[in-house]
Amino acid sequence: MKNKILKKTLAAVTGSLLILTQLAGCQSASPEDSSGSLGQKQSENQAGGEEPVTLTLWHQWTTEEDGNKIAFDQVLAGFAEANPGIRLEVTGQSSSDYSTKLKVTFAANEAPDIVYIQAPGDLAPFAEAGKLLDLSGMIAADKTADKVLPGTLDNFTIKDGIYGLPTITSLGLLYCNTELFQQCGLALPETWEDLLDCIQIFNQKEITPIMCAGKDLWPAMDYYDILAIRQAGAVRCREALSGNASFEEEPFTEAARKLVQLVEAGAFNENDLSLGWDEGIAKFSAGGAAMLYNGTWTTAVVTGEDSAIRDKVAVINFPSLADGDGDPDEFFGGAFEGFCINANCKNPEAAWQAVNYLCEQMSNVSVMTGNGLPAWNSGGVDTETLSPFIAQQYALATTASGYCLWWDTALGGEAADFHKELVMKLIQGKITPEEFSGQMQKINTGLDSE
Amino acid sequence: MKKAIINLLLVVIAIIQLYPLVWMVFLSLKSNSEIYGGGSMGFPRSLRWDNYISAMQTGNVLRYTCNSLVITAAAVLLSTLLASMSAYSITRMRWRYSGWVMMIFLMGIMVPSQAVILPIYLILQRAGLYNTQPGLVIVYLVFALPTAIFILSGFLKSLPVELEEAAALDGAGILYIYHRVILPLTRPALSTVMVFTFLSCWNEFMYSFILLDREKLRTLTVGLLAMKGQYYTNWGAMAAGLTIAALPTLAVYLCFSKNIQQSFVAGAVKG
Amino acid sequence: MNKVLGNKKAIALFTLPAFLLFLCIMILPILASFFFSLQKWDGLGEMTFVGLRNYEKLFFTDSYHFHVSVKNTLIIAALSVFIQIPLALLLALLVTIGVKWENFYRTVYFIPVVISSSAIAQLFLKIYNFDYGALNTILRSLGLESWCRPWLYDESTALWAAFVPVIWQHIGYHMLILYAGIKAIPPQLLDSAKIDGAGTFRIWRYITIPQLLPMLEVTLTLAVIGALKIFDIMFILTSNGEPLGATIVQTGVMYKLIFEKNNYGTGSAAACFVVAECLIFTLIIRRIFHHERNAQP
Repeated sequence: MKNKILKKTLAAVTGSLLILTQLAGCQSASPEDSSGSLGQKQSENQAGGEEPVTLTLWHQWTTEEDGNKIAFDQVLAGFAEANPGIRLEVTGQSSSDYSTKLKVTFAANEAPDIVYIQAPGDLAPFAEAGKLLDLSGMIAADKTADKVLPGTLDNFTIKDGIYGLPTITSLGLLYCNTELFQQCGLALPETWEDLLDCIQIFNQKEITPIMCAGKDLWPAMDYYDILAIRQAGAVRCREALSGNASFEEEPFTEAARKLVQLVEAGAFNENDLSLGWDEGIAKFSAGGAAMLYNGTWTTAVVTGEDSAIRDKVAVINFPSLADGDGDPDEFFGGAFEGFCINANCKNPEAAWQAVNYLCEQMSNVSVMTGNGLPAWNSGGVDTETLSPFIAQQYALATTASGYCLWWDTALGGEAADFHKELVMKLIQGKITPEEFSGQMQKINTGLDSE
Repeated sequence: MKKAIINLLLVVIAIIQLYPLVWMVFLSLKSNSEIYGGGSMGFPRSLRWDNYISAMQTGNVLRYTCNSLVITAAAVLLSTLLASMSAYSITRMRWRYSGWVMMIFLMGIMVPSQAVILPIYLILQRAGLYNTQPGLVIVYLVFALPTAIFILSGFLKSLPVELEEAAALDGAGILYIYHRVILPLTRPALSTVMVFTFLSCWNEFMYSFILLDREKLRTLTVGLLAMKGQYYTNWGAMAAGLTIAALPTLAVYLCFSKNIQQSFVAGAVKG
Repeated sequence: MNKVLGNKKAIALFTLPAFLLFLCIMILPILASFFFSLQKWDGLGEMTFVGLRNYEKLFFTDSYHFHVSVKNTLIIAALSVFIQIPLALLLALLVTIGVKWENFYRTVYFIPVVISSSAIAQLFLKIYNFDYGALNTILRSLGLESWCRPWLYDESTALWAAFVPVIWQHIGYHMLILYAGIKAIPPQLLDSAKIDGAGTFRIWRYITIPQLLPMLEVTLTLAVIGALKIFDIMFILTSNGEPLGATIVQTGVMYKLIFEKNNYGTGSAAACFVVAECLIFTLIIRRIFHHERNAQP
């Protein structure tokens, strides 16, 4: 009796363990099987030809509405045709936790050969830890630096190495709802004074002048950063961000005062601060505010089929400041998206070839699809065929006299978090402009030493 | 009168508890402009079945549902089996370190799962289980064990000792007692535990996302989250995906829920 | 009897498979986290041993909002004990007194648990929205315009607004555990009490609840630990702590440190803090219940 039960239970346990191991065996084998056989078939097809090199690639564009995905799918098709010797195994990983996944997989040395990345914030830790391939040798040999727009490699340069190539340039633009402007008999604001006048009139008509979705912090951060660029100039901002100038200098404090002035003039609807970015842009797209200052990725949403204002938007650069050191043609933004190569990649030459092609073509195709502005000057853009809105955006970008990258991306990690919270504290009146500058400088003197 | 009040109360609560499900189905038939335009709570103005089509395509819902089912089923069965054996030996059998072992298992509930993802990743990598479904099954099973053991042992503690004494006097061995006397009695608790484990595995996102790279292995939650774009999300389609994802859970729950009731009756007769 | 229940081979057979897996996949990573919490490490590069410096930083760096997070988390734990569990118990008791549609109620009350936390969070984001949210719409139609506010962002209400779904969602979870427990009480006990003419409340007080004590200990422990570890629903509802850290919870601080601020060491320290805290509360609950049980005749 006892033995029988024992046997039964043992059989059950070993059975389940067997199932487990079988599961392990078959499942771990199956992906290799299928992907392997695919590769084999290809190589058999090219009988006698060289075996194609397989490279893995991750990006974070997963939705059909994503302009990057639309552009990238076109680029990939072109790549497969132009490079039969290289097979790309592409996986789109969900954007919400993309950087978390990168951190874990790079730490365990399981990251793919080619990785989409935002530079320098996300790129720098990997580059400094030796996880990425330094491309400066190949860039010099291929004279790639001449093919990209000047300065676009800066964001990918960490210490003495260059660790990636840019795909597109994204710029901060002031999106204006032309219908609301006409309704109030206003022209688009060119100067700070214009802007304040607009704000006053819109407030009289009970229209929210500027959309400031605060819950995700970064959309609100943009308003301080562009004011700092106008006030201190893009060059000085870049120096401060890299620790070579102090945030306690007068222009940075003055920019903070200007932001407070905006808040006090009623530029933002304080209830909008409770909105996440997707809620904020949805409200703007429904005509819920007259202006929105944000990056070029906004274009796809406000001109998308769900948008009530898709034919009623115009873009301009942020208004100029008479007392500012910054040139009014300077832009907030830059080429921060790109591809980099894993230091463990077995075929660095092939990967370089792929990254080179993908980045350059992404730059060209994205302009056509309205997804962003070029980071390369390879002349693959036919400006004649652009839609009027995109042409407007493109024309605007050609006037650029200087750039300063998104501060959160430029600072990265802890410093970025710190900066975003400070701007929000300023908007909410929890700190004065002077306190703001003093605390910002902690980013340069070391957050650790608090 | 008192009965009537109680019944009314229960019905009102039932309506509140049902609303999220109804809301989700309504949402799945709306467009973004309706959702953000003030129509997020009520019945949809026009039924956008397209959302389900785009959920099926973008979310690749069918394939990912299968993946999720395989992984979840394996984790639920294995963890329930292992948990019931451990819970029994810890709470009913007599050995010196049972209290310590229980405490160690309990520690598993206390760990914030996001904190240990890198060490777990590295361990699975060494074991060759990274980027495989069994790897994920093992992680889910281990995360499910403590709660399951804890609930089961609470349940086992409330059973009278006389059960085993009587069986032992009849000359039954320990395996017989476990298999024939205890297991049938714990079926309501086992069903409860299985429902909980099913839910936590089915809805888990982080580990599945980090541990599985290949698109073909992807589970449903990861597939659904991929529908959330960086700058724009089609919430209607997302809700359609969530609705589809909720169907298996509801089915499993309804199934086991009946079991919780029935097995109790069966158990009581035997006990 | 002792021979049967003390069968070493059987104990090993029953316990070891789960225990060994558990050691490898759970205990080892906990130890690793403790080790990381003593290092200065960004998660990728070189580690430097810094002793307890990370704990010091965690406790004394204002921008991490750690103090607030501990306070918020403890409030959630208290609400779980004093509101969530009593409600769950009440529902379980009400459903089992022999109402019509018992199965229907039990099933429906559990539904918020079946729906994933992210969907529940989205629902409440819509309820609390300033412009079109259900709550403000109702207030406006009642002429209480001045009460309207962005519920999840106004500092005076954000925390409490976020707690409602957090507490509500899992009532059904605990109800189900208690329900199963009530169903396992030998019917003879209840029957004999009924024959003696005891009323519903007396039966609850003297039979059901005392019999349910082990299960109550289980639900209380699970609820408290669940509260101390709460993450995803709060993360979505409050964008991990907005406005400005007012609503952040412990695991939110940990997540920010590890994955956003690239500070793996301090993040691990936060994780170890959570584990220690859970351990202490579990022991307290255990002590209370064992005391209670011993006090009973």
